[in-house]
Amino acid sequence: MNRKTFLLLFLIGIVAFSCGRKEEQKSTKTIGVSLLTRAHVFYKDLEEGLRTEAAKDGYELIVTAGEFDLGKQSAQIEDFITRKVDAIIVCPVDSRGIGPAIRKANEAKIPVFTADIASQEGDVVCHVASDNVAGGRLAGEYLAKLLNGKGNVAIIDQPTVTSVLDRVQGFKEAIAKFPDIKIVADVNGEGVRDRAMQAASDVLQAHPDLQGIFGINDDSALGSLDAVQQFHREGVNIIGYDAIPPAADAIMKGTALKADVIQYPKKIGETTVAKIKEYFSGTSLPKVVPVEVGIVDKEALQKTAAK
Amino acid sequence: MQREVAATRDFSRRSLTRLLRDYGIAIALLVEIILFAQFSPYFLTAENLVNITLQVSITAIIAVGMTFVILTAGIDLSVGALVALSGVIATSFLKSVGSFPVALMIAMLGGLGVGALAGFIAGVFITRFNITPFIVTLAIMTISRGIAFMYTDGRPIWDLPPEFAFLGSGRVAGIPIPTLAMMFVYGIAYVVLNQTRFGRYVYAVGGNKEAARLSGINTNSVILWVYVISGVLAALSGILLSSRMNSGQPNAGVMYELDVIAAVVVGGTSLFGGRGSIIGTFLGAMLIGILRNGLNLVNVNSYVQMVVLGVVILLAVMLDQLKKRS
Amino acid sequence: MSPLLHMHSIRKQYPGVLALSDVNFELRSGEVHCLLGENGAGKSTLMKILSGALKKDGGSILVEGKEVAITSPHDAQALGIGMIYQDFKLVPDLTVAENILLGREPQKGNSPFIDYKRMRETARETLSLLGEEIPVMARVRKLSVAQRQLVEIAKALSNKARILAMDEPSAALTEKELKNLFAVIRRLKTEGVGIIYVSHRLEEIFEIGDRITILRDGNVVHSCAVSEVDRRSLVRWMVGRELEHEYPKTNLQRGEEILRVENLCAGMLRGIHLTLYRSEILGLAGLVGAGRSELARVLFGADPFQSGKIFLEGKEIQPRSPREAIDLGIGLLTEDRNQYGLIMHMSVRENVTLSNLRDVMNGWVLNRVQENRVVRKYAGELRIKTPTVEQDVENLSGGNRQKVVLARWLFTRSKLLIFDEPTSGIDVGVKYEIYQLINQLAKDGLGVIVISSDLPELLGISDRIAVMHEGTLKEIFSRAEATQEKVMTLATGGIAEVESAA
Repeated sequence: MNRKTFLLLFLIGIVAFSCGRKEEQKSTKTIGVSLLTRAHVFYKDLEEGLRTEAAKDGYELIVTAGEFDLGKQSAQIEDFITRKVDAIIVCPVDSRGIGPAIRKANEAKIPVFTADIASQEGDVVCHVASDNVAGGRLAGEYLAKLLNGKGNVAIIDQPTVTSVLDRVQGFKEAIAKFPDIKIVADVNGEGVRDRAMQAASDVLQAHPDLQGIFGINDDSALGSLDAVQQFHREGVNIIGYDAIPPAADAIMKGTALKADVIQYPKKIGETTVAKIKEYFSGTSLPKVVPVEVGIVDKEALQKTAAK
Repeated sequence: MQREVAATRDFSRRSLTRLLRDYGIAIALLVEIILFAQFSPYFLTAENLVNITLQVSITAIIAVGMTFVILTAGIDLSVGALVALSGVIATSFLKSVGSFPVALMIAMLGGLGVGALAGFIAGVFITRFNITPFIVTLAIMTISRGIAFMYTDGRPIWDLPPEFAFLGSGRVAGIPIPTLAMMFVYGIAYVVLNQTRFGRYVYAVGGNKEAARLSGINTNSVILWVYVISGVLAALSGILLSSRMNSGQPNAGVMYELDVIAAVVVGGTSLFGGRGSIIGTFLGAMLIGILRNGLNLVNVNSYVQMVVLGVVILLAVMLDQLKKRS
Repeated sequence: MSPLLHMHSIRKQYPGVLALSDVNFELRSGEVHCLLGENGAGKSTLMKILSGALKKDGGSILVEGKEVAITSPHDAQALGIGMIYQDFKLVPDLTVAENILLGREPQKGNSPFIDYKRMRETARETLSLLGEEIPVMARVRKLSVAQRQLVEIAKALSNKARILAMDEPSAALTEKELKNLFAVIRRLKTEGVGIIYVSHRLEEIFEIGDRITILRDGNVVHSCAVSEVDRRSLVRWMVGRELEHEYPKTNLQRGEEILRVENLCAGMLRGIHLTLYRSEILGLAGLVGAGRSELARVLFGADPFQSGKIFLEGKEIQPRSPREAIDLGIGLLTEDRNQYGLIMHMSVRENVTLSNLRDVMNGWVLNRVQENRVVRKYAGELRIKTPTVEQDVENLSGGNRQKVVLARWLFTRSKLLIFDEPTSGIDVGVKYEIYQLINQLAKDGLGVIVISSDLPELLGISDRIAVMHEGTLKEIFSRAEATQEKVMTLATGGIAEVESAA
């Protein structure tokens, strides 16, 4: 048998096999999920929220994760389309790059929902995410209160990420209400602790009178804390975002990290499935559904710990 | 008369190009320092100079290993990932084995050992199976990063014994320990490259591998060793960095390989191997480190910073080409 | 009528060497103009300037009376200048047709797709012009050297070449293949193509040439019709002096056995038997690819051997790497010293001590003072011309580079030295020095093996001559027995006529 014949038979085999699969009967609603990653606590909590809500209605969930690989995530979505799921939830690896995969789902008339991270292309029924603007605003208000409405502050930024741009926008809105607070620096810490530490070190050198830092996520806030501690700077207050365990610990210990904005990933998960249920029942949905965020400081954390 | 004037002008232009050619990077560094000193009153403060050497030390130490590798006409893309892997391995050992002084020893050995092992594996694949360094170290990079994430489940390792922070944050005679470590590594590397047989072999292998072999040099062993050195130095940086952050971060060191390669190349080491110097690498690392620091100090927009960094790398490499053409 | 090509007052300066000074060269349509000269005389440089591979430093080039600027190979091609190099510039994994039309693939109308049918036809037509049957769909990798050469010629012709330069076209051809090549050349002449034939094989010149130009040390020493010269005067013009003085030779009493090779089989080498004595120079003759360099590499530990025995000073050895061979006292001066001998951008000092750094160490660190002393000593003894020992070897001339390699092997205290083409690319004057050095080595009691394709040279300097053919050692002649004819016959696969039956 030569190569060409073999290839032909192989292809016929595949087609026959997939035809056979079509016969499958569906009893309950199935939802395909492609998370950004499963290595992060945030997404673990989000997944838990999805599962809790889905269990209530007996939906079947197929949970996968793109693990920062666009190709992998696109393949996962195509797989969902082939399996004819009833809805798809995706946390895009790349807001633009995921467009073609979403459009394929659109063509197959499968509704697509995004959670946490939005897509810039394709038809998405509804995007469910933390209200990042509100989170930034909370951080700004809390910092202003700590500084008694006066002082110089800096942002350890990551301006290549959309959700971060929202956080910073909210932070700036809040600070704008206090004319005596000046944002003296806005530097890129790339959202990771080592780079944030270096950026914050530079900012501390340039501004000996700095009193506040907003870290756009906890790695940025903790990196800032490392810098503040290494240069023994007093009187700098840091606000972080997400309240991951080391950040919560730093707040509890009374370090320069004073408070953290917290998201409720579980709630995002629950809300997303709840919105899908509404969609199935024919309710029309808004394009964006913000999920509330909160802020925690030492006091709040001690209360939770006491429980 | 006229001719004389023209001749002087010609002469001064020629001496200027020669000056640029021979001391290009040192001059660029000087210009950079003068410029930033003009724009920021805080740039030349003692504390900021400490800050700069502290920041540069991490990439500069890795750049030493990268210089060895690039001198043999190789490349090591795995260093950034090894910073993360050695950091999380060392910090996890620190937490799990025994009391402090012993635990620190074991943690250091563990971290450095992982770096050495990764370098050894890369070296074996490159020499025994004859696969290009680019591909081998690319694979080692993703494998190491993957293991770092698997090992930590994607979370940082924290809550470390406070004594550990001394390694990254402590000072001896006012000089931070990472800075001292950097000076030590450069001193050793200078001697090794210029005064030992191994150093001579590194240049020879990079200059012409087959001729080196026919001159009686065990080229495979030289190549294997440079990757081990690169791995160990990346690991050393990883340990120092995690001490500064008082935690092991699986996402640390992302894209460090590019910063480090840029420093080495800006420092005048040829990617084709055989040419370059450890002093050049130091100047290259300083040039890039000071650029990042200075641009942050004068609060240049981070998008603009990326463009400036790229332009500076291009200019520096162009200068180097000028040097070779003459 | 103006000639097809006129190169006028061409000058080319390399660091330290004037490669061409005011060279004039003229080529008419339909003639074969032979360019003669020893290695390093400037033939290749002139051809590289014509083909745009090198930039000239002075002079002008006229094609059909019009001055042209050739700054790249592309320019040369556009002017109808085709080059056939010794190492062919073909892509081995493409087919014959693809190679012939490389860069000028016929397209289907205006589409970006290649019209393979038309490509095959064009290639076939061009090849038939040469009277040759080569399958156009065969991969070049599978062709013989002679076939590849014809593909190169076809490639140049399909590019409308009117000027065809051939660099040592006969180097790797058999007698029969050479006859065929000459037939092709005669056919091209009738088409009006002008051919520049670069060679140093005199026989060929008398057979195919119309005119000759002889270069020596970058100057034209003579230019005339072939019919006006004889062999003897040609040689005199080429080397610049009478042949007798070309090779210094001191007769030495040979010493004890230093090397014995018994029934050695390795790669292409089959059953080699060989003995070499101290103070003896053994010449290895044979065509390119006969296995001479391969034998040298095996003795030097650079390649493994499958069976047989090697004895050095009576003790059996099995060198598994160059390092082991060097430690045993064997040194190899490789054929292509730029590629395999030297680290070009390392200094003279570093190149000399590279194989024996051990002897200039002070514990763990190098002793620069001692290293400098050693290198200066050898630079003086071998008369290496360099401003300082810190000069990069790439700035040295071929002869001085060779001396640097020799210094290296002297510093490792070699007992057995193998020279592979020791004088290729070296100026005539320096050649003489190299011969003297080789003699001196023998006088000092070393065993010396010399591989050379320059037969007069080999006959001139060796005590005995071993002839190789296709991996076997055919015969070893004493200096007295050996003649060019006998050696050449054996080297080309013929059988030696046993004259002295006694």
